[in-house]
Amino acid sequence: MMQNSRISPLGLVFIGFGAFILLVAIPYAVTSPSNVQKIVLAPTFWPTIIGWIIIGLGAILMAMRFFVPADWSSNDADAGDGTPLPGGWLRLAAAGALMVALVYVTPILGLVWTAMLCFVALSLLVKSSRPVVSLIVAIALPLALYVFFHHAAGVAVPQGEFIRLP
Amino acid sequence: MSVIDNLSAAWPLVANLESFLALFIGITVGVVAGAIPGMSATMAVALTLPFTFALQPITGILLLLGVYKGGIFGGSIPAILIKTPGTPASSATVLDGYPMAEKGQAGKALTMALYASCTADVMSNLALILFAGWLASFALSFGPPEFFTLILFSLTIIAGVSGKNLVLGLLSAALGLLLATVGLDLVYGTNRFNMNDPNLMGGLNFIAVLIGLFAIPEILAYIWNPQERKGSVRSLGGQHLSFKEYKRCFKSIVRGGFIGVILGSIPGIGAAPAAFLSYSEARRNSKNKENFGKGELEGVAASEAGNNGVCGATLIPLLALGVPGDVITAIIIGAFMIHGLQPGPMMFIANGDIIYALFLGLIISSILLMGVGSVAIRLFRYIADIPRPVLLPTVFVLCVYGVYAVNNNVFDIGVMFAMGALGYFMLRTGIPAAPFLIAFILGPLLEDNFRQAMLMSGGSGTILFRSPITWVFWTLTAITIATLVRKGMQRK
Repeated sequence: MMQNSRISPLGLVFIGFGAFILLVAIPYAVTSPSNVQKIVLAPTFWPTIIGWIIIGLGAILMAMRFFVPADWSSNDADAGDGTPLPGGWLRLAAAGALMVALVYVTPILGLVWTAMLCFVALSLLVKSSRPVVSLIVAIALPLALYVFFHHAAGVAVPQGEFIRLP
Repeated sequence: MSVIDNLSAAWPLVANLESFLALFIGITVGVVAGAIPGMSATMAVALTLPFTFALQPITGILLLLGVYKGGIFGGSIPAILIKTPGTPASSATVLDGYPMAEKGQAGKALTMALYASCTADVMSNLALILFAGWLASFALSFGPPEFFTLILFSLTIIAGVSGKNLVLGLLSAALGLLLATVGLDLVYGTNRFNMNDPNLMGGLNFIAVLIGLFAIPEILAYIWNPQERKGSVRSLGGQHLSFKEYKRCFKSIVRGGFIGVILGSIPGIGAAPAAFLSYSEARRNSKNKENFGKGELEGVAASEAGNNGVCGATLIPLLALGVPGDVITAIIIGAFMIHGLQPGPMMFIANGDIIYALFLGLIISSILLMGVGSVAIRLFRYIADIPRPVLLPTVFVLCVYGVYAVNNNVFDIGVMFAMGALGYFMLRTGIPAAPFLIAFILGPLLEDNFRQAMLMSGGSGTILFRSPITWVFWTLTAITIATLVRKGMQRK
């Protein structure tokens, strides 16, 4: 559950984000032709409206600290069951690194082998109590998906530079 | 073409082994996914979507509809056997289902859940067949201003999926609208937030956003706290459901079916409120009202009829107006688009055969659900025993393959992970993901119709009030907003 004390900083984050959209992102990343006659037709019009909406909602979120009872809580933030195990941030950081690695390693190793390695890495990360089952699925699943997508669906699954599958 | 002509044209599309198999596999996947605590019907539909690319449009969409229907029923199995609803729609089923399981009547409760689900499902499908065509023919007279006001009104469905905090829901929707602007401008073709990257010229990939928001955060949540589910599975017991018992509950089932149809056809309300309303109405009208909450069969029947009555009805606004009724139908609308179909009134003219084939497929799915559901009830013990340390890496690999398969592009996998990180942040901070997805889908339609209307009028806003239809939608939008504000004030 998220208490009011956490709602306010979130409001501030969104006000900052909205300001970033209006002051930095739109001027630098949205191209508007010089011959636009009506502002409502400009490519910048819609993002500008959304930027202001984000700022307005962020401000409302901050104002809630003063107008909503202290025991009020937001939507349930269900990030896991029971008391969390220690080392959560470390595991999350490792999962993040794994995801980044997957994107860069796939063109080199191919999707099948990368997926197998990722499965094993994830199983190690969550300390799988059934390592043999995990290993079997880690090998069989990417291969089965390769067969379906490559041979049945005609998807060009990346093969990588080392071992090529039929 | 008349309804009979359309049905004749549609029959060959659905009366083949491929379509039956798609429905059967879809329902099976849905029931299994719905029955696994930690999975959900939404995640199951999202993960199945990439597997439809290689199929014919009708086959692929039937597969997804099968997953949807199976998922809603599947959620009732853990609700009754382990007091953990597999989907939010099954929350009301716990109230009487689990007490029945404690009394050794789990088998009876599950069979009633299945029969009530199928009965309400048939009612819902009939409502879809009767009303979708009628609504679509009415919507044929809509132009860009009418569609703009309709979509604006539809965005108020965000209120229904925002949870307790509407402001967080609206912020989520604003983020969805913002991300939908990435790509090339609709009128001038200039760059918008795409950093001149060719991968972003066509906007963010819908499947990558969808799977990133709904599947990856669940995996990250498990990595954050990798603990197995606690609690034991109740046995089915020896008692079976008799026809007399089904007959006794029939009135509540029909009432629940009607409630599901009415609430399902209104965008944004969803299956869970329908189940609770159906349950409370059944209790109010029952002779055994004192037994409700202690293991009353009628309570299980009413809740399941309520949540399954929604399934077909949510497709009414989707098919007739091109507006999703809830998150799952928002995913299904994406599936239509991927297969080159644009749901809405014009689809009834251009692809009438596909629409009616879907209707027929939905009716067949109710019969298949009965068979698959009966088997799943007996096999639940094995489904519930799938270890999460194996299940979640499996989901991860499915996500990677599925997202890659959309465009054969590793960049989309990166987008999925980025959206997963955003989705996890939203999960941790209590910001709901559903409004994001609905706004992401409706955003381009809203902007497109707005700018078309402005082009038609030379930039004059009066065109948005040009007809009685626009006035009706403006009024409905105003009423919805006023109701939400009033509810917010009352909560304080």
